[in-house]
Amino acid sequence: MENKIALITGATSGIGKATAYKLAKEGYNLIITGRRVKILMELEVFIQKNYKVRCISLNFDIREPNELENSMHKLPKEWHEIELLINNAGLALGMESIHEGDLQQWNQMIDTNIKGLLHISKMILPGMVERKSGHIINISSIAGKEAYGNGAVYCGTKHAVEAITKGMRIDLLPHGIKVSSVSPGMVDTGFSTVRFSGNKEKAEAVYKGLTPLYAEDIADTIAWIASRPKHVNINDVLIMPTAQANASNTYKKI
Amino acid sequence: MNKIAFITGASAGIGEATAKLLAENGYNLILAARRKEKLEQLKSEIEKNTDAKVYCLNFDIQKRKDIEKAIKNLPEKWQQINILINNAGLGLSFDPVFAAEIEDWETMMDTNVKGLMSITHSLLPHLMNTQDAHIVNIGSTASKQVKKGSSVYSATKFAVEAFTKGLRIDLLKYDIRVTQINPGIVETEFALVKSKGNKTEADSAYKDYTPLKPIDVAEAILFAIERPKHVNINDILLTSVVEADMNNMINKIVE
Repeated sequence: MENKIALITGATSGIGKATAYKLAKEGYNLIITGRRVKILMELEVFIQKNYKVRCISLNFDIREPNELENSMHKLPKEWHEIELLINNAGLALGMESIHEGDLQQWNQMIDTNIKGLLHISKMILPGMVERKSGHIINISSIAGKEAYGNGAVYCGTKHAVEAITKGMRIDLLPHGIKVSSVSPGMVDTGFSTVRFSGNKEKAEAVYKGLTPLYAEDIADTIAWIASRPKHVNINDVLIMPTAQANASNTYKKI
Repeated sequence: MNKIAFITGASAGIGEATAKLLAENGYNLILAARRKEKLEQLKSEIEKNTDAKVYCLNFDIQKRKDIEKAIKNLPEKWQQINILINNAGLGLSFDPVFAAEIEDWETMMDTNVKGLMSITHSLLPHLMNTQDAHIVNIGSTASKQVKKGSSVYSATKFAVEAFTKGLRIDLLKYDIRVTQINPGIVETEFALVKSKGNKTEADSAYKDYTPLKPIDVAEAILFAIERPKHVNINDILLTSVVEADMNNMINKIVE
């Protein structure tokens, strides 16, 4: 396989899916991972049919260490030299004040956004270090820079991603591995629908009166970061809708 | 009609590279700097190699009255400014605070902070009158961190960051995008200025590693200003692969 290999976690929807399309267009062979096996298989077939690249899917829940490791160990040998790791799998659950939060939701966010990201990185990094080549792009958030009301735990997980990214960069640059993060503001994906457990009305209200970012805007940014010259490391891109200045200030035309 | 970009500190380094790249991408340019001769030279080079039109403004950004006068006297057809790139800035001496020259501090504060703020203030009426206006401030890794000897330089770049964030909130209603681009070490005249013209010292700063080139930063600026209208790149932090952050330089790749 002469094309570079990219692995994208959480590839079944939103930013992950848009990034899969974008990187396929740029000529990466893709390993796509996700929980929802049916969507994952459809995406695999779609990419194989519509792009001139190879694509393989791995079905696992990033929160389950055994599932993740078994799945990665089954990866055929020609797929082992992963050049680009997009740590995208992540979610926000609930918007309650800290004293009313749901412990189970907190654990799910922590297990996915932090522990899942760390675990898959740990599986892939030794190979990158050995080859002295690779690039990790962590998907963080404006919530990795600022805390906002009713989002303490989600913001906490993304602050953790921010710290992990910075630490990774110090540890891995000496081994020839680049480390970047992309930190988006409001993106109109399934993000808010998941956050509000399927309540479409609540989800739509988040984006009402402004033009949010779209998954493609983030995918374009990821592709740009991955295509910089060899000596350039984009540490972080903070990308927001023009109508959102920061975590707390938006301008809605309602 | 081509968009007009106003670039400060355009006579060298990141400013010069940005001017050339934007000209190649169809922008007309207002180039501002102190050094008139270098500026005129750049203007003829750009006009020879591209279709861009260039207008030069010669002033010292430390002198608020000069800025105001220069902008007031802009010819009519150069007044619809779409993009302001606040690039002029410098680092003077990285001595510890107790050994530093107070004049160096003042020059840094007058240029990096007051100069940037003054020119933004003078140009805001133009930008608020223009479609798709965009302000790009050049910050630094020193907008995020402090290292030995960088206290005052970092203070000026932290100030730029606060100003960027405040501008973005105040201009939210006016659809003006505000971006900050933060490079790590770039191979420009910066090191030469920092060491006050000592060429050997300046060269040795880059002996063991590849720093960013001005064009790398220019490309980040172009990426930010070419995003769709609903996308605002708030901040890009970029370094060369040998700089993990301001305090963690990588001397060589582990064998």
